[in-house]
Amino acid sequence: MMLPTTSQLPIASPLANTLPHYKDMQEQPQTVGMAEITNWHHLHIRGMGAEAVLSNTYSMSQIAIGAVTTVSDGILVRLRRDEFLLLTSDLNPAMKQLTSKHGEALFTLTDITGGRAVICVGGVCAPEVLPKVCGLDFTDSEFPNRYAAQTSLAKVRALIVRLDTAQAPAYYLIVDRSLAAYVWDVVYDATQEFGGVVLSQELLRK
Amino acid sequence: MTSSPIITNRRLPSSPSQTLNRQKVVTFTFDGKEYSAYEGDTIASALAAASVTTFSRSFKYHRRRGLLCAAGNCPNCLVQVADEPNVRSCTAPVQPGMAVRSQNAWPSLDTDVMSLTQLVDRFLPVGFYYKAFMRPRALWPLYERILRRAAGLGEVVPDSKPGYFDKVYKHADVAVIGGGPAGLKAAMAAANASAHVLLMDTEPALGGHLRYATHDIGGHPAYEYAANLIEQVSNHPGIEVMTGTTAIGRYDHNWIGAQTENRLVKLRAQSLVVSTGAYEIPALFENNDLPGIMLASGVRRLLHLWGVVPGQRAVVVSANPRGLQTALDLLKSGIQVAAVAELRSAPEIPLVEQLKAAGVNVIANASIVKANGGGRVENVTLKSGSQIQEIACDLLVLSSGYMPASELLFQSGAKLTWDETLNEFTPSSLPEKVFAAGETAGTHTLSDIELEGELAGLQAALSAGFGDDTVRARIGALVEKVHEQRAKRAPWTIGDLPEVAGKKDFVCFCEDVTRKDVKQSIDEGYDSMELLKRYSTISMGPCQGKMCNMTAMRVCAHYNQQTIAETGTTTSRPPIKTVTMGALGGRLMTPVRVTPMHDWHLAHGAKMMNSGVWKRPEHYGDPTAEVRAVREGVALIDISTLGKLHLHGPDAPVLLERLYVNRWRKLGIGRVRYGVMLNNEGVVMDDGVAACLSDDFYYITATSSGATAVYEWIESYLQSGWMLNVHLLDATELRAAMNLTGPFAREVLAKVTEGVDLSSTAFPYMHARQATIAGVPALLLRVGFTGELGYEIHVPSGFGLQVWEALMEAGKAHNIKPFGVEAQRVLRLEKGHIIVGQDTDGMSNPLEAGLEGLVKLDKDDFIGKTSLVFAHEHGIENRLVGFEMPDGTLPEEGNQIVQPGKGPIGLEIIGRVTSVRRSPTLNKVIGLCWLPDGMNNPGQEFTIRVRGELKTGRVVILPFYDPENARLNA
Repeated sequence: MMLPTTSQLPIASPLANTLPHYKDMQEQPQTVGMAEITNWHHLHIRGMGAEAVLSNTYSMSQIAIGAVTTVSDGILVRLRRDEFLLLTSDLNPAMKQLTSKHGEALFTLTDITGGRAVICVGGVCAPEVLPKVCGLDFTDSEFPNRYAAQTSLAKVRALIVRLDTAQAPAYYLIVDRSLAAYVWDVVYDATQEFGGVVLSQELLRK
Repeated sequence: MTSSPIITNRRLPSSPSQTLNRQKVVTFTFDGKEYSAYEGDTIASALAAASVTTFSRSFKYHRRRGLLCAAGNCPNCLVQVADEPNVRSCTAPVQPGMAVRSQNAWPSLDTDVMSLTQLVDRFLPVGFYYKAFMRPRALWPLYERILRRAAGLGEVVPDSKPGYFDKVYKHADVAVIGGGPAGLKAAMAAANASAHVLLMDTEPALGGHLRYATHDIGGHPAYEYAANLIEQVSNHPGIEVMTGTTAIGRYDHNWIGAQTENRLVKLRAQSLVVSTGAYEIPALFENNDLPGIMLASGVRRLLHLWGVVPGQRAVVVSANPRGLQTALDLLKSGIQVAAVAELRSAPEIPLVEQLKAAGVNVIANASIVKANGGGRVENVTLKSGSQIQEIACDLLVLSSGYMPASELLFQSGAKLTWDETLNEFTPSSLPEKVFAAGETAGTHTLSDIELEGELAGLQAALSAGFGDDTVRARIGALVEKVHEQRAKRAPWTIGDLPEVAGKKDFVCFCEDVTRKDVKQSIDEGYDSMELLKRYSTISMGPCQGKMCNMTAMRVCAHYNQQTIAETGTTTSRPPIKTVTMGALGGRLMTPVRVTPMHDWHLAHGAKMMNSGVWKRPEHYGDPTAEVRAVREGVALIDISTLGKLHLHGPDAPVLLERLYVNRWRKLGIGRVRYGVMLNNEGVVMDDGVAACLSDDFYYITATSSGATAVYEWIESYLQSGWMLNVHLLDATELRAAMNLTGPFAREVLAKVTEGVDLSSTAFPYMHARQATIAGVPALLLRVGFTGELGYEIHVPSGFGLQVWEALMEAGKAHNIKPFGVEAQRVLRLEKGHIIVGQDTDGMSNPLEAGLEGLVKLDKDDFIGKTSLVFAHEHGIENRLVGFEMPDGTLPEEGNQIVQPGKGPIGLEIIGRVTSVRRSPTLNKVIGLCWLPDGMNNPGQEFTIRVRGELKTGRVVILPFYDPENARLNA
């Protein structure tokens, strides 16, 4: 008896009751914008053999801890030596592929979608917003595009993934679902000196 | 209020060094009177331009105080701006409409009644407050009220509106603190070596003392030379400039705290260059605090930054070239210089010649004896050899000495040594990755300052990992050059102490400590600097020693007949400059966790409570009705805050055996077991249930408050050598959880559940099943904290609300109610369940806490077993038992259980109440308490001290409710 995944269910927004409190969704951020991302399933991958399984599955070379890479099923983040996170729009094919490839070593796949919230902070001023809530160095040399770090953000645990758009830097703050409203409020407040706006997810997808 | 025009006869014509926008005039009030200012003025410069001379009253004697440093270092110009006390008016820019008030004066700044204390000063010697007001003790509240009114600074306005403060983290390869010539050179050098540099300065603009210096450098006024340097720095892509930012402390590993406006800056730098300059300090003589007596640097700032004439007829006391240059500046500004009292025997001849050519009386080998005047200085008494002369003036300019601004170096662990040749403390050793340059390091001539700045910048860059052989070669050359130059350094003399103490010669302006006070302190035995500081409060006021520390050391050395090196200095601790409490507090960032059903609870009238960082419903209006709903009908509680862990792997049963005190190997698939975890000392750490969902997958719950600690604790064991083939995942956030409980729970659940037989035979107590509830996959655990038939329902968090609402809808026919934490506490108490952390503490082992039936000491091992075996063999001292109150008194949790004994009121504490409630089900007061072993027999009576009265409790067998578990197993 294993716990089922939620892949067959729509992803429920942790911020459904928070976002309407903010002003209308904007079309374009001039400086910095925020959006909630609800189109990613989160697959937690763990095991000493995980790297080999992933290499085998996605024909990828070794990636460093903190590196973010694109694979056929989505975006793969290496959290530590034996731990990865796959952000994917379709969970089932990824789980199927990975389950079929793992060998004897203990290898755990867990759908952690429901426990996480993703808040995107993007725009030219985004690297100036985050130092108001997080002690990391967000300069390009220290926190480049396609890099991720597990850290403390506004006094809570967070995974920050940088995935720039063509125009500007974009950071995805992945936090516990129960903290989503708190983190949203704190980060939104931090954006206000730069004229931060709330973006629609649709706009972000474009 | 009347409007006053800007007093033009106190303003100089525009000059490029000035910061004023003369096209924009703003008005503000000072003590209710309206004043005008130019944009760019500080409060003090605008008031000085309007001929205001008294800015504040002193702390103890309420003497008039005027502008002294005009640089934000001394306490003389502190004012109240609206609801903000202790604003330094010499650095605070004027804002339109600003309401400025003087401090510590009554009824007015001009007529302060408390200045009469000077007449009785013989009764108010240093430390009088330690000796007076001791008796009668009952009068202390009165004394305190009077003292607080008589002495003090600004006024805290309790109902003032909180400001908006925040913080920002910064990172740099090289941090340069101080943007004078040394800092500018250091920043350029480090940035040219490819380091990312953050240059910070407390002033609103870079340039340091060159901003307000006019002497010639290469054919240009000093401020123009500085402007060129500043432009290079500002345009350098590798340098981030933060002006108006005050470093307040240096902590381990070059962590710098700083404040810029309402923001706290937390800067982490690989290397640090301290180029914070030096504080000019006042001389010690009779009446050295009269308004009209200013430091030379303050005069130059008034003249050149704000175009304000500080007086009409000046006497300049000079002990270094800047004094003579200031005299020349005054002449150029049209101010009469009545005399220059040169303290040195060999002043710079060209400067002296220029002064003499302008008709200035330069008195060599002079000393200052006394200043005289009422509201401000009117004349000064000078001495040269045996000749004493009085000279009339309304401005006395002091250029009598400097003290390095070396606080950050102190805090870095640098060793500062008194240099007898230079008459200054200089850094004799610096810790790794910390460098000093310029006046902080005892260097005062511009060319040497710049050399040292470049050297420090390059060394800092190299130590941060930047720089090549070229940089190394340049460092080598600079080290040699600096060494040569340092050998040539001449002392920037500080004038000798007058032979005898005056009546009012202030060492410490902040606390009104005179030279006589210092002597008396030393006579009383407080003869070291640290003791002297604490007894006399020297250096403990707003200036934090910037104005007084050097003089205090000299006076202390004098009376102890020691050298200054032998006397030593005091410790400099953060914050080194004023920092607002708001900036330290920052934004309110208190994490709050909410469950997926949070908004539903609010919409349905829940009174929320804090449970750690979680928000939980305490009740929905009537906790008693909620208890009845559970006992008689059906009710639902949100338990999403429970800790939830996934254990994957073939060694999961082995891990469980080691974690819990009971057995786990034979737990079948689909079974649930309650377990207790101990720490290494055998103390109860947490409890919860674990469900076996497959051979290698267990689902564990932990207490809400213990969830994170339990996860981290297990993970630390897994990663530190147990080598078990298990993966642990914190699943607390993954699943919302709710407990549907009550006699009708099964009926209600059945209405929305598919895929499981809910009958008691197919799904008995302490079993787990999976099902679909309201279309959502769910894990059901048949467990019960309430003592009734109950199902814990765990569903993906995103669908918690959906399932919750479906259950509430399905339960309508049975009048289902939501219930909160308060009802749950009553229900579990009726059933005799403990709450870890409330009924247990850091000493409670399971043998004492009524959990002995669970403990299997014959197991191979489990965490805490050794300690528990020891406790078992040495006997049980206390026991957690159930009790009731025969007379119906409701004690409070934490009440003491007592017996006659040796305590202060003839009672000895022998136990305590941990949980107590009036049970609506049993209609009596029930509780849990700790009693000594031997007093735990049913029927045993004991005494509880309830609100000062002694009440009788009686031990009863647990549980209070449904001892046969018939309802649980229904």
